[in-house]
Amino acid sequence: MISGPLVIGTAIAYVVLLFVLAYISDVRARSGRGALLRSPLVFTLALSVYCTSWTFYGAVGSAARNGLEFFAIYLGPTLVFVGWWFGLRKLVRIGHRQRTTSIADFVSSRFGKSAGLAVLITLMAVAGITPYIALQLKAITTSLGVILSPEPAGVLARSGDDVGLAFAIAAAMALFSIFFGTRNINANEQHHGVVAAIAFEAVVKFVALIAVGLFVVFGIGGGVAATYARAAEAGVNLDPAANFGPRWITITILSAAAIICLPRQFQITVVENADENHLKTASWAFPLYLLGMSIFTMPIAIIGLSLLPSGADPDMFVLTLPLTHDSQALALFAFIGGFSSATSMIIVASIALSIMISNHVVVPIALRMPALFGLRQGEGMTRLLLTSRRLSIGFVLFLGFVYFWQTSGSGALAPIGLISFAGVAQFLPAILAALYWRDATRQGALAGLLSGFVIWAYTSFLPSLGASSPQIADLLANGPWHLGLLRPQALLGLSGLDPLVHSVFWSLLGNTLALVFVSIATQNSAMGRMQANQFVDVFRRSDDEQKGFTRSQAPMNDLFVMARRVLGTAAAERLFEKFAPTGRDALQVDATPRFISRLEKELAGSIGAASAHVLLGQVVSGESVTMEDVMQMADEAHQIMEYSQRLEQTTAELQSTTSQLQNANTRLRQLDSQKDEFLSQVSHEVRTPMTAIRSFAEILLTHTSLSESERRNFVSTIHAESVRLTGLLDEILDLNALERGEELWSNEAVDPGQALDRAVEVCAPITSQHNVQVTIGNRPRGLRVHANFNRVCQVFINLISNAAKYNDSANPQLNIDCRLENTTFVVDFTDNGPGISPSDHGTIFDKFWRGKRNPDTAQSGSGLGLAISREIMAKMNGSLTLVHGEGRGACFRVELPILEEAETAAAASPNEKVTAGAGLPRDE
Amino acid sequence: MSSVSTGSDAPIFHPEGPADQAPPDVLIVEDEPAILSSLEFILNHAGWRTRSVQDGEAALSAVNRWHPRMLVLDLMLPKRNGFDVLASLRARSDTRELPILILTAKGQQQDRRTAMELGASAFVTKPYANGDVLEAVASLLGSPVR
Amino acid sequence: MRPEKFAALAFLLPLLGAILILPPLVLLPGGTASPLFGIPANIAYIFSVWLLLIGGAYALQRLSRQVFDTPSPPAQRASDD
Repeated sequence: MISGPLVIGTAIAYVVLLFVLAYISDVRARSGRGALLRSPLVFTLALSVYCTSWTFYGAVGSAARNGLEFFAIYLGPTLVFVGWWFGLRKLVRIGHRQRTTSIADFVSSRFGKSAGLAVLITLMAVAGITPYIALQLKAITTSLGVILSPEPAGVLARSGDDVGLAFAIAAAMALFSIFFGTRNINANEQHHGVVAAIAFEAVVKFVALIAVGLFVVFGIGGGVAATYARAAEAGVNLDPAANFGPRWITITILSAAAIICLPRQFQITVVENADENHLKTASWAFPLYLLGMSIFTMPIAIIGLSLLPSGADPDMFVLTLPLTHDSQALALFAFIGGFSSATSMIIVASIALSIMISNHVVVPIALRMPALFGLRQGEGMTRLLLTSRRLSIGFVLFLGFVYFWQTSGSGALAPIGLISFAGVAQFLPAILAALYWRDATRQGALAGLLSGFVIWAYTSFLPSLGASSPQIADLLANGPWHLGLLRPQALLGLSGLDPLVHSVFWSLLGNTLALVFVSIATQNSAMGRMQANQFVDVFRRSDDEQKGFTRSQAPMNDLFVMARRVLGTAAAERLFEKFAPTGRDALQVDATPRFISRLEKELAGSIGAASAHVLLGQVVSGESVTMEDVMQMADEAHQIMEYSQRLEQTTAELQSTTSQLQNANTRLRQLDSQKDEFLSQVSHEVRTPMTAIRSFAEILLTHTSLSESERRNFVSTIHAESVRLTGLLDEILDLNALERGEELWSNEAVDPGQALDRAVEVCAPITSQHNVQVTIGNRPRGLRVHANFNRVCQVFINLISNAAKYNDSANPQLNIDCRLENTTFVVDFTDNGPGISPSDHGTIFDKFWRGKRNPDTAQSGSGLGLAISREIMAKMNGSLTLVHGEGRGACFRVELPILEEAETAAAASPNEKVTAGAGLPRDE
Repeated sequence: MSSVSTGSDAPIFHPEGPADQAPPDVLIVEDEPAILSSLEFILNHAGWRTRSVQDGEAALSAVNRWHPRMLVLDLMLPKRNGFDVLASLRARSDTRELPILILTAKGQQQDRRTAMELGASAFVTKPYANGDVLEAVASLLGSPVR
Repeated sequence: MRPEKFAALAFLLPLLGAILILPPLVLLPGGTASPLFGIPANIAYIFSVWLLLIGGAYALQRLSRQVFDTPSPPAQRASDD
């Protein structure tokens, strides 16, 4: 046995050591020499607050009772840390960005800075963690009882715990936590002293457990193989089928959830984290620590079961094995290790819970009732926060003590731990939704948390009290009002499951379904949408001065007073000076949205996002966010949507422009190729007479002995070809001018019949040369059309001479028929020539189109006559068309609108003579 | 060598062909009367016997009838154009080697290439120097017989 | 290595871990019948998987330092203090 004073003295000395360590660390950190304190190693060790006395003592008990199940408690966190890239990294990044103070703050901040959610999570956390704290108190008192007992193995089964001792321990822990956990009120400033103490404790408990393990395996058990060889004798359950069932899966999931959701874990992982990169080290080092903590668990359980009396409490094997094997010093060390595990958990958990209680419960109430809490202009808030945190720590530990007191003497350690895990695991759906699901709403999160919490309380928490209350025991057996379907451990008649599996299944199912369905059924508020984007897209944002209160009509004085109330004078002045223009007073800060948003974050760092938002809202514009501001706060998703719509629009515009350009380009190419073709045809048409001219000229030059008749013949050919060439060039220019729309003549009132007479007269030599019989029927006299006499003649001459030159009939005829149709003067020129083949109907008015040539024709035309004639008619609002061209004969029709009497008078025309000029008779 | 080709393909008098004439040295296919008369003049004066037709169809039947030693062929012709005539003649075994001088007012490279691919022997662009035509004919037929 | 491929690896590791430590694979090694260095097969199996995950996580964080040359921004609060 170890003397009482020695044990108590050692424990007190250990606590004093912690005090000193924490104090020095705090001082060093404040003076900026805290490099080691902000190292990945300290971060990783502090994470080991996960390993409580439940791990230190209880894991062996669990191994003795349930075989390999304790491994799952560590494998869940291992998976989470190994997968840090996806979960923890995002969690920590958001925590830093949002200046998150606790897990309640995190969830409420995501769901529109909802105060209600924060309160709910705080209550759930307190309810879930209280048994856990009780568990630690129990571990310390029990272990004290064991180590002080003169006959350890004998007193192990003793169920009575020293309530007074437990109370003393709780009080001492409260003092320590208050002293180091509430030195300053800004959670963001972190508790360097506490973290240093926790890291130190991590080392102590690790070394103690390894020491006990080595002693048990090699000192008592005779080596690893020999130890495991006793497994069957000890009755340890190593059967795979029994170990790796639903309970294994459930505990893996629960522990994975707990490493994120436990308030103390969130405190260390997110709030106390100094650098996101520390996660990289923790990702492998923390699982390694866990592995070390569990490596000797099973051997200790085997040896304990096989060597100690059957009544011995497996939860205390770590202590009793050294004690019963005369290793008092090791036993004392093991006791200190267990003490470390318990105290570190109590300290961090109570700090985390106190921050939540004071930020999410006390401050909101104080803000609504400032008078009651002595909040007036000036100081007050800082003191209120400190006081409420201190009281909260006391309150939490007191609650834990009460729970311990009430459940004293019942239940093993492990079940209580798992109940607690199942409680905080209810945060998991909301946290996952916060991280990854943009459409999760505040109402959804509330519904999910409430459902999960209620089901958990009914199926897990309530049954844990069953042993101490006959009413509850009756409820467990028969259900409320004897409704069997509602029995807490067999909901809807689902019996035969392990109670833990049953509870976790129903609570997480109800939780998740409520979250999903209510989220789908409800809408996020503007603030909710904005925060959703802040969370889900945290890696996509480079600089996120968060938009919040964009209206900035806040009087600077009010803002400063409020900031001083919360942050303290020095911190408030620092902040304001940082934003003040250089050389100006701190109060001349511009209330830019950036500044307001920064201020809100600073406040949130002290009192939580929801309270900060409410507080700032009271000052800024005297109200919360205005509708206009909400519009300005249009969340990123909306902006992205608008942007992509603009992009689509621009793309469509671009496409339309492109297609317009393509059309224009095609048109240009067509015109270009038409131009090329025209040039090529002109070139051909010019080359033909040029060839004859050049050739005959050369003949005349080189053959000096030509007869006079030959010479005359050649010269006249040259002359004729020159005339033809000139005519061709004239026609090209004429057509070009017509097509460009140049005013070549002025229209006046003209008698079309007269023009026809003139044309027939002019063509008489040609028609007689070709023996064409021309018939002109009766024609209306005295009509007037708006035209140019010479040009009308040119068209008629062209048609008549074509009909003459190309008529290959034995008895060539041309019938000219004119009449008045309504207000149109119509002339048909019908011949009995070869006609126009149907395939040429579309092209005869094209430039350079040529019909089949009469072999007797001495000269061929330019191929421009019909094109020119049609252009001329168009200029006079008339038309030239081919009426029918099938079979023998062709019929060309000229139509001209006649003028009314008044118009005729206005445009009286003198008769003009037909002149040659531009309008040479056209042949095809 | 001045007369019609000899050998297995002995000259046969075509029923509708005029029998009074010896096979011409040059068959001129040209639809412009002025150009045709100038070509006839210079070729005759150079010592070649010529005959002429004014469209593509007539050219093909004239080749059958008169067995000219070569063709001077315009490309822009009524009924069947010069390319057509050229391709038809090159498709027949007895005229595959017949020298054909292409005359055209179209100076484009594409026409020249097409004509060469179809098997033209030489190519002269209008307006030409009389000497160019005479030179081309002489190089295709050798020296004229006086 | 492209960041996307790193992310795929980082996702694969915990997934693989979960598959290895949950039924049915965890049932594979059997119980005490076939001990390894005196350690029951399923305990040896769990420790092996555990060490594999730790080794994988170590390799992964080394890799992440290579892939993402620029260090991620340190916590704001660290600089504000």
